[in-house]
Amino acid sequence: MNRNLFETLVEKDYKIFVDTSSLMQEDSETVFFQVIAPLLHKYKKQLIIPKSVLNEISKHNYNKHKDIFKANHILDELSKFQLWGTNSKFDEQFADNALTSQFHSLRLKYNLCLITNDNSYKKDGNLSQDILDLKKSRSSEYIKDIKVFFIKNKGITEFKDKNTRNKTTKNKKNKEFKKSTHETKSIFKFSLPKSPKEQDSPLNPNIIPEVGSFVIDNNSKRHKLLKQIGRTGGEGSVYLTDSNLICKIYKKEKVTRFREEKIKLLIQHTIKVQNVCLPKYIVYNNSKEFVGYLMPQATGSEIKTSIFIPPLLKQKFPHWNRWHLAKIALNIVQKIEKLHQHNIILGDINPNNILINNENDIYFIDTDSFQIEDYPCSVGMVPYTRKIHHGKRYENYLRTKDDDIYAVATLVFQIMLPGKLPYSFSGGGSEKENMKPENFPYKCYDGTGYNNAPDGQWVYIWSHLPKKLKLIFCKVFKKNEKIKLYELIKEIKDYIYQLEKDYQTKEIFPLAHKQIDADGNILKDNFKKIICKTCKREFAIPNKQVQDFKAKGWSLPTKCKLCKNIKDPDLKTCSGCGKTFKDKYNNLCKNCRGTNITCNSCYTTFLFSESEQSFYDKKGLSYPKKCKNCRGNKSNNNSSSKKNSNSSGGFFSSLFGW
Amino acid sequence: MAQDLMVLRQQDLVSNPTTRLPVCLCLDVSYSMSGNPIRELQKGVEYFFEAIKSDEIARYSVELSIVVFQSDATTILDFANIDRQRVPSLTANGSTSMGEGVNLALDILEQRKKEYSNKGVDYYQPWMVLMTDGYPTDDTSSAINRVNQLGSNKKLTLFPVSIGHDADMGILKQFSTMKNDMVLKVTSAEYFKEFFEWLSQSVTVASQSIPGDKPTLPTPPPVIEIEL
Repeated sequence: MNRNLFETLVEKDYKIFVDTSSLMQEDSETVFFQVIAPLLHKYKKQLIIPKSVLNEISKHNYNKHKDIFKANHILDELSKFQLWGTNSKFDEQFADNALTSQFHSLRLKYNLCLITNDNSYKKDGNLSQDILDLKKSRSSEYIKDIKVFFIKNKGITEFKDKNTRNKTTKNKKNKEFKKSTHETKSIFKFSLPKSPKEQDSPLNPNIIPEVGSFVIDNNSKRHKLLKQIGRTGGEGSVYLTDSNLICKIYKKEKVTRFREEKIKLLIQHTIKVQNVCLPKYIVYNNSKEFVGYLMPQATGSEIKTSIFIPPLLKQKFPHWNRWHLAKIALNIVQKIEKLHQHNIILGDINPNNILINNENDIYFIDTDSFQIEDYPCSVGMVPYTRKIHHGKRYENYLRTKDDDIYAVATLVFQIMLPGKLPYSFSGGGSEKENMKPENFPYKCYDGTGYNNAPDGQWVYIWSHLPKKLKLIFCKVFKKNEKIKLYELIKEIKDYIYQLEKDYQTKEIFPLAHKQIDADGNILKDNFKKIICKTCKREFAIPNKQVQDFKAKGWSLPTKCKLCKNIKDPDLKTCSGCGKTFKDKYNNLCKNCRGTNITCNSCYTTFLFSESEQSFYDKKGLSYPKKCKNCRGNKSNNNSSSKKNSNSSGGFFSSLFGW
Repeated sequence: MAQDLMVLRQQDLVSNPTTRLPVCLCLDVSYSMSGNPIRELQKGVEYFFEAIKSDEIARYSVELSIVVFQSDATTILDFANIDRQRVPSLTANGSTSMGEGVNLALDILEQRKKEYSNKGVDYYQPWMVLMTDGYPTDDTSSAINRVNQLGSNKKLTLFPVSIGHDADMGILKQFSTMKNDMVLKVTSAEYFKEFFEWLSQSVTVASQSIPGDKPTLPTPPPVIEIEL
């Protein structure tokens, strides 16, 4: 069947590219000679071997790769019948000659096909998938067809989109979407106005209920405030009630018509997203004055104190690994996606408003600050606010879904690098000042490397994240571009899949950079652990580096990078020669301090330094009486050795000058 | 030994990314503090450390140091993770080198800020709490200049605290970076606990505020007088 499909492609003049990996499989020769060659011959077509592949083959030849003879054999044989070419039309115009960029450009003109065996998720990057993804880009109406095949079991098999999981869900989604377009009335959507409503003046209710008092909800039911939960915040206090609901009571000066109407609006349209603690009932004091609202109870500890402070993460979730972190991230983003479907903008997404019980059980609290229609969210935190809004008062503008997406991208970044803000860099200042695209310190596949990355394990973590997730972060933080929630969801899901398959490290704080072999496969735990002599903490050196050290005959480092870089506080710069030296009491190093001696030949004073003295003492020599010059002249006069004839050119030339 | 300390100072910074608030207590331990005042001050400072330690967030974000001044000024406790710190015992002696004390406190705060920046750890602008019961015996003009320059650039918050009624209010006012040159007055040594309780609450609030924003601090207890 695949043979038929492949034959159809050859017949229909698909441009068929070949990647190195497909030429080096166990059955490569059989397949190329018995399956592919006859078809090419039959329809008078050629394979295209890009220059990048030829370069790679010659590199493998140089390195004596064990399977490279197959590639050589195939190309030799096929070239006898001119069944392949490097066709300049498809090749030379591309500076980097990389397959993806060739396909990227050619996909608009030709139907394309790639034969490659680079299709494993174990790798950091998956060429087959990347090529198929090119078909899905935005301007897809102009894109011609792209197919990918691989060599297996003496045949050639089509590589099906690995995101078929996503595809089927997409289909499902489409169906659901179609359904839901019928049901749009049932998914309630708030309006999205352009300008915010203004806060009005306080209503100043007579009584603000406290512990022990009763409140009355909008169904005339009474609830007793049993005890206060947490400290009194900026807006009011939160209480546990005898109905097992939580009651927020506003401070006197915070009770406004505005708040009452906003909460009423939320309650009117029963919106249910699991574990998002939206207001359920409005509450009044005994004089029927609005004072607050009731909501379901949330449990767990804030992300801030359970993930973002690493010592507390270890304490609260000692058994967690990266899979748990990725799950948390996914759950958060999916909840936000659901709220967005109702046109609810969260506004104040921050690590204090999300509580965690376990990776599947998380709560959103402080939901009365959500932005609903033209009721703005009047609070926020700098690191989760896009730069364009810095300096504005939160209540003076309406936020967009993009603002929420920026905030959640920051939050997901901080979950992946527990607690680290994207723009914290070595040499930085305050959170606000740091928030500039050029300050994003991590490597972005754009030709630039790490740029003042913060010290510690953060770059290791970054290197271990999957490429596509990193590219999303780069897009948001370095390129300052907008992303969609589904893109983020897709990459987090992919990461979870890779973690489940054990393709990526599960270590939350890996000890070394991710190691990738020449074929792009991720090498797991490919490093040697060492205990630092100074700080007694574990650090690691990649095995490749260990071999390099051994090859050079060097001993392995005994100190971690951090300790190696710490300046000894006793180290000083010599005020004489400028070199660093270690001494508590002196400002001059041993070479610059000592006794002054007057030369008994030329009568100039010279320094006989402490280091020289100890050398003379060690050798049992008597201290010099002449300065270096006079000592030097003497030795030059005395010796006619070859050593001097070279070095003392000045001496001889001065003689010749006479 | 000194190097071990350097190692610890840096290790804490690379393993915990929480935004830091450096606080320096700059304490007068001149002869006039002898007896009950120094004992109560010791208890108060120890209470302050315990209070910070008991708050889940402050514990990982507030960093404390202590500078004392008498005939000269000494850093008796440098910045580190609070778990590794023990409050040294305070002894009263000598004169009141307040200028030297404040200068030293500013130096170590500056040094710590540099370390934050080098390691890529965000921070809040530092706090200094200057406590004295008397009149400075050295020249305070350079220290006052430095404080005011930092204060007007919002790079330092300095709380001047008068212990008892005999402190130099004029000088303390000049050191204040607070509104209306506010000075706090702990009228008697027995109220140190209340003062440090208020201070720990204020520090906790500040360590959880938005960097750059002015946090709303709790109102000081009635036994602490506010001199405007």
